[in-house]
Amino acid sequence: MSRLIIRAGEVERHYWADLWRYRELFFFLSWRDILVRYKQTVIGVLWALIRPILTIAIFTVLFGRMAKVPSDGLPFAVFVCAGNLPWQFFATAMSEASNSLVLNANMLSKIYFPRLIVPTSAVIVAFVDLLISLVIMAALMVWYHVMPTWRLLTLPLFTALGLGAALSVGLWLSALNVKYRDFRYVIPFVVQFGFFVSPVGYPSDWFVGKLTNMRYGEALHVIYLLNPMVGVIDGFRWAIGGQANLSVSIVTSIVVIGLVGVTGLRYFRRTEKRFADII
Amino acid sequence: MSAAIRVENLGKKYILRHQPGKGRHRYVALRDVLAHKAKSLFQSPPSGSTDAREEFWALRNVSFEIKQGEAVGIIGRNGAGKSTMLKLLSRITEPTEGQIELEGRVASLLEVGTGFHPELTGRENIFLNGAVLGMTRAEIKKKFDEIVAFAEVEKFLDTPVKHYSSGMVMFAATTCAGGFGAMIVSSRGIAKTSFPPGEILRRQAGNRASRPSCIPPISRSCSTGPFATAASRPYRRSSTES
Repeated sequence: MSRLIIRAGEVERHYWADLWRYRELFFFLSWRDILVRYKQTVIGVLWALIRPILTIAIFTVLFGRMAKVPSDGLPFAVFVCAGNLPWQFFATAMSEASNSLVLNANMLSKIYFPRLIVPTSAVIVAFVDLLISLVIMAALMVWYHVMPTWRLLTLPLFTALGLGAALSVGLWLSALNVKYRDFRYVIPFVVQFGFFVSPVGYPSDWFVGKLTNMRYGEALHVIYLLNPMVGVIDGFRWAIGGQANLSVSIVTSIVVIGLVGVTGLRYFRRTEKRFADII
Repeated sequence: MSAAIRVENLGKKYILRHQPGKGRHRYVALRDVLAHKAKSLFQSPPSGSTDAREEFWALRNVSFEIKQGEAVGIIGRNGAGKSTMLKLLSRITEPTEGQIELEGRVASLLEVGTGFHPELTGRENIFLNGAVLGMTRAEIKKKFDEIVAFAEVEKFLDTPVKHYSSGMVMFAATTCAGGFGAMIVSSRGIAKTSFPPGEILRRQAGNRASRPSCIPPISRSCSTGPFATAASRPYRRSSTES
């Protein structure tokens, strides 16, 4: 057994090694939350399917049939599905992650482990839901005879990008939420707002076209692109065969996610050692 | 014999904030911080800021050594710093000054049942609890049967813990803690925290002693001590030492 030395102001040194040592805890926390998520519900995991299906149905009627929004050359239901699944994952992961530290306050103040485990496992739980709900996309593609091309092979990349987006935003929000509980009230609003400014129910190109015709259109376009989920959703649609124009949005999303992730990790690491004192 | 735990000049400082007239705030609101920042932009010197800050040393100049195989009890009045000591040893919070040297793994448990989830079954909770204490799955499996047998929960192993009686939960949690070698356990320090039964409960009482009624169990289960925490506030100097 190794000798461990804890000096004032130098607790950080073993951090990454500890993260590896506590991988079992990461596994168990995710496993616990997955188990608990649908306990005492009648239909259980089906909830992971029903919510997206209902949203897709409403959007298909509302935007596809009534408002006749274009859909990148895809059947509208498939099109909405490819936007809704990543968005719903992001929204759930972000809100669960940001509340995760506060919810596990009793553990934080009683035992030591790298705190990074908590928001990460919250994101993973939502990710499992995403994987389950991918079944819907497969079913819709079969139903509407959408032939997958080689592009489908890139879907894991965009899924990983979505995971990165949720994690990077989650790191910021969870750490901020420990100190400023304001964020508990901000997050539902962000989720609701984000739903409309992300290309869930409309194609990105169509939206950008309308946007740039408005006053301050260029500025609004830049703000629109700052939303990291724009690139992820465009990527999803492109991967299943949509005619989305990827080049701009995917690059900006990768840059934004990278920046938010790096700064989020730094902020988290900096505030982490005081979590137990202020939570 | 080398020391399993060596503590030198350990100190932990907290900052107390007194907000006159406002009562105790449950948490910091971003609004208040921003308002305060904005205010201080316009007010030239920080004259008579609204909250008085006071430094408080929960622990200071604490040094001791615990050798391999020793069981040590720490006692002291409420607020003497016993829990802070445990928190520092188990790395929950960072020391303000001084240094701690530890040999092997530390699994500390300030309160039994940390990480117990009411919706999970007894079996699931035992696994979770082991992971919380830093065990691997293989290690937990090895101890599993022993714990189940001792906690007398075989019949309810697959019942959610929320349906347990509160006594059962306490008993199961305590057994878990003991079975997994919790408390301040440095794997080479106090390695044998495992059964027989009375031992665990005695250990439990020992480490959490805060009232005089707990002193007899301490002296029974500890090889050294009990010794009182050296505290920064004067009244505690009168606490028991032996």
